[in-house]
Amino acid sequence: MAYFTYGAIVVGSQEMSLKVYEVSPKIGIRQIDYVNQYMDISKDAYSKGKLDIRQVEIICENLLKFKEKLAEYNVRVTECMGTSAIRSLENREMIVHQIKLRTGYTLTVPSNSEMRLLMYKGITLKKEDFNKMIEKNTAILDIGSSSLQISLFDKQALTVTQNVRIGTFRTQNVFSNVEKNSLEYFSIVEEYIEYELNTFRSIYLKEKAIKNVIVIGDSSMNWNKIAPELGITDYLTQEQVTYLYKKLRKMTRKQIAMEYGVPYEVARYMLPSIIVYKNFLEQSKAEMIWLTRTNLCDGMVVDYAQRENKVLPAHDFDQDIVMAARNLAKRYRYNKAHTTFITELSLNIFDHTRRFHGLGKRERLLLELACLLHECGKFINMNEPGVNGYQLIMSTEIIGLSHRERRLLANIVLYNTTELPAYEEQHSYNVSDYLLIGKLTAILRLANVLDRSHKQKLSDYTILRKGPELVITGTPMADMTLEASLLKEKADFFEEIYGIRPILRQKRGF
Amino acid sequence: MTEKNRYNKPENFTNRELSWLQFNYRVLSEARDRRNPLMERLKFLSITASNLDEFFMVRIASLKDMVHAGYTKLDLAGMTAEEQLDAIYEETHKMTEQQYTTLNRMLLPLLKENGLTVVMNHEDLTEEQMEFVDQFFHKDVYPVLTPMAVDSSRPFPLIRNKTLNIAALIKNKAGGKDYEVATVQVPSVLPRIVTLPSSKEGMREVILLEQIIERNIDQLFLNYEVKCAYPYRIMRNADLTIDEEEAEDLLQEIQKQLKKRQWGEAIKLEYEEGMDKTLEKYLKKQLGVHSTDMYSIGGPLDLTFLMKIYGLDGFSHLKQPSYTPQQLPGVKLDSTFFDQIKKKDILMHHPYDSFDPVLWFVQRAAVDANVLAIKMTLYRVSGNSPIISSLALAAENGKQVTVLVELKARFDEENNIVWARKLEQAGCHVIYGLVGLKTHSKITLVVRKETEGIKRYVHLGTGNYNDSTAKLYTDLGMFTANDLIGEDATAVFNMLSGYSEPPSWEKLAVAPIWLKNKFLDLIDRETKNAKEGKEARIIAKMNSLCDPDIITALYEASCAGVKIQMVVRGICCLIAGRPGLSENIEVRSIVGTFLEHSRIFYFYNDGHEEVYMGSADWMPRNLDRRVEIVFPVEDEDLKERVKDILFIQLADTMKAHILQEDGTYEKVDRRGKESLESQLYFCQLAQGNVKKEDKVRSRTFEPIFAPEE
Repeated sequence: MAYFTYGAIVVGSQEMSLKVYEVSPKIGIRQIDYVNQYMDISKDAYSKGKLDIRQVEIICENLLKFKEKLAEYNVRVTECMGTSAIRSLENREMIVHQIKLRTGYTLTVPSNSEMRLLMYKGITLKKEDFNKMIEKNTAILDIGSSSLQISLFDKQALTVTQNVRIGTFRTQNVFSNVEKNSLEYFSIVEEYIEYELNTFRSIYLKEKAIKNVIVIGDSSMNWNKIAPELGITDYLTQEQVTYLYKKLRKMTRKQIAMEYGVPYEVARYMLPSIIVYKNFLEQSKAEMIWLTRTNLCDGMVVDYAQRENKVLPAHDFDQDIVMAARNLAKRYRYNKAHTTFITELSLNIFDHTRRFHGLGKRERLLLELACLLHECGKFINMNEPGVNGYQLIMSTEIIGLSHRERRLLANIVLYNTTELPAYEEQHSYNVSDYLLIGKLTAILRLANVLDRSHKQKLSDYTILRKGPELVITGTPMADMTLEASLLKEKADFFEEIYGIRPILRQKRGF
Repeated sequence: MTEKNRYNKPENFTNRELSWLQFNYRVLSEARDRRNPLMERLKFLSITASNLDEFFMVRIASLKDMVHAGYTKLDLAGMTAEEQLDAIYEETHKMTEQQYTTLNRMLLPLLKENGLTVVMNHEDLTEEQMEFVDQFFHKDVYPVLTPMAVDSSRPFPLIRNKTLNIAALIKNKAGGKDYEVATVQVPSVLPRIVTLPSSKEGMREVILLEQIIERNIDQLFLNYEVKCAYPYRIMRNADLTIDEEEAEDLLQEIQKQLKKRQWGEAIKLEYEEGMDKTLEKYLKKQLGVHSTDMYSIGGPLDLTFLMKIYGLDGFSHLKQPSYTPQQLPGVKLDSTFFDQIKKKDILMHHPYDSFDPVLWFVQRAAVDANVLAIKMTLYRVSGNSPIISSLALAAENGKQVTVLVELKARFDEENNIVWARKLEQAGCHVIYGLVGLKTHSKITLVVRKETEGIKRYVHLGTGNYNDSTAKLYTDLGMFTANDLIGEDATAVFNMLSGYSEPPSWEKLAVAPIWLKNKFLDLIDRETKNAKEGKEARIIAKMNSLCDPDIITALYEASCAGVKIQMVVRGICCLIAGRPGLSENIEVRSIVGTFLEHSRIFYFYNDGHEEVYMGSADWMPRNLDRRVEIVFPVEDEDLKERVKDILFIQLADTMKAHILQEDGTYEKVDRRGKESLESQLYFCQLAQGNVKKEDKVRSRTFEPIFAPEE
């Protein structure tokens, strides 16, 4: 059959969802079923950092119920993800293991930055004109229970993404003691949110005008319950936001739930949401907010379909990751010409040594990111670019990367300039990750040394493997003596890892 | 005063119990209608009796509960529970009288003329018959009798709900001054009517079982002298509301309640006319019955025995010729059934059209290799239902089968539990209803894996998945492969399985949350159109109409000039044809051989007509406390067919009763109109004996209002 069925399960902070999709090259991705079960673990997860066995049992019961549903469609591939509540657990590994034992499902827990990218992928499923929407300065707001992610897109690519700690649960929790007095509560929450958004604006937005704002995971349905007179479709105008804001500001979430018949869980996020909308519109000068009812499941299926080459991607998300890294490099005043040069050279070397490293698309992306960021540490201190670069990368969220990938990236940058310790001397990596760091570092070092002068002297080169040698032939305009003299050490390291030796040759003009 | 409040006043509503009694009168009028075959008239009379029994057990019982609880809230029509009971007593006594006049003065003499005598008193038997009866008593009746005497050491026994009993005054022959009371139950295991050896050529004679026992009552109390013996019967409170929040296991709770049902408070005592006063007083006291709940009956108690007379062999000339449901033309019950649905929606009008396609749908799904899952709601199912076997087979064939069994279907619980267990054993997922809500919707979903992807097939209906009632109830059903309806159907079952409600519905309107507003919106749209001077029209057919919000909206529509025609079989709390309130509303009720059961809703919508069907009446219980589904009919051909059904019913001149402004019903004034019996017409149509065009061309579009005084 020309289609396959895929199940995406998300264990969220307040609910568990299952979506069943049908994926075919002809029709693309079609959602065929969706079920949702309220189950609030946010309180224990965020405040205690632990779930008790009863809560794990409930999760497992729901998963087993989902399993029955999946059998209804004969679903072969099912993936299962946990969001921020699960991520923040101290006993996460134990719980993931318990779930595996009881249900057979492996619960993967993506990092915040991975998850956010998946959310963006999800939008492409709901909004077919995603690329058109992000043509010009577009902000995407993703309000989660623990934080708000703001990402800016321009010219169809991601420019900035930042995590702001004003999630719905967190805000609720921080001010729970003043919640009874609704007016006071509202203004405190507002002040808090306003401050965070202000900081974001002064750093990233500056005077940039935002054209579109897209909100993930909110739907007009709930707002229509509050104000049916507005007849909201899939966007909110500034006037509508102000209207809703005025209507809600005197109410507690209990009142909202009772009066308008919205689920309590929904009422909880409505207050912070409307404050965020109002403030964000004011600060960004955008005119309306688009609502998309997408959730992580949508992102999971898009991601899976792309990984398995089942459907053509609507948008190149890898390019978003590259753009994010490039913007980061820019912030730390990188040398654009040098970085661009060695990035291209590294990827070229990577492509010519495929047989020897056996690495894939994702590792190639990591190499590209490492090249883009290899110098960012110099922003702090010219003499210790490795250690500082490592620190900067580790404390920056790069959208789309898992925690492991970020650490790999930071280490490649670190070992670009410092010595890679022997396997026994480090405790952070298993053999394969250790080798991966080594392989990518070797390429980076090689490319880097070939532009030691930062003058791109090797402007026109060819790469050719001849027996045990990797011959890089350039037609230099200038003298390559500096590069050639420093090459030996890097070449030794390269040979040690790949078993082939890089040789620099210069075509003479005779 | 707002527009709504202007109409929402007690004087604008009829009390629902009194309206129900009007309905039973309409059934009774069928028993009195000379145009009906004699045996059918017997059947109608029997139905009035069983209807009235249920009415007592459920409605009167709950009114009594309200009085006991000191509940003072007024009903729609502004009456307290006590006022309602008073009004009801008056009517029920009158109705009982009319039932027995109908039996004694009309039906029994007619039966005799037609060769069947029901011997009412054992004294009237011939010698030979007496001999036969006594022998029958000794051989068959005596062994199963349990006579019980009452004295100081033996308290008055428990008299079971709805059973027929005989009370006697007895005195010890050996002495003793006073008469004692004894009672014996007329065994329900024996047939109520006993055929006698014939005394006359060409005459069949029968006698009632209690007469045989009465004749031989002294045999039961050998050392006693029997002064007199009279039959009596009691009715008990049966409206058990189950506290679901507390019920650990709903199933167990209902089983427990079933046993309890016989212990409820006695709310009605019927006894034979002329019962000894001592005995009458004694029973009244022992059973704790009020004077108003005492019914002195001039004939045999419990008229449901007439159904048994209907079932006697050899009187087919006195019955309506039985109708065989017809196969739908063009629909083949074979392996291509799903493809046929995919090609075009299929509409069925039961019982005129056979119920077989519905059975086949499930049966086929059970064996079709591509079917992945079957989901179904079952409310009232016949004992040996082929649907149950098909579902069990499907589960055994590895399909995912989910069945929602409504255990709260009144009086059917015992039946439901048995087959629910059977399904569980076969491996189906059985859901026993929802806490606080009755699942009344009738929906089946089949999920099938096809080359183009997952495809869903849905059957939606107005009636239960019950192959035996499908022969008696008029219902509509539709098969569709519409993707949007399929998605909604999936969402319905997800909701029934305990998942959160879906973000939105594409096609279906679902109670309890969304349906009422949907109806109000549809009515308001007509009102708006009428106000703008556009043509506006509503035609609605249902079993009962008593939701105050809907009725108020209808009044508002009527005042705006919307033409409203309603076919309401049973309760109708709306007042029709009142100037300044509802002069544009006509309500008719059709009571015929088949029980009118379908619900159809038609809205003119400024020319873009919309037709809906579903499981919900316009009653608060349907709109607020039940899971109901109303679905659109969108295929143009099907829409036309459903509209024709409505138009034919609106043109019925034979079985239609028109609601008068004073709340009573009158038969259609047939003068100058072509006579039309809609049910008969539908039979002929299904049999291909009439062409649709014949009627449809001459169909009566003009509203038929009450004849001028």
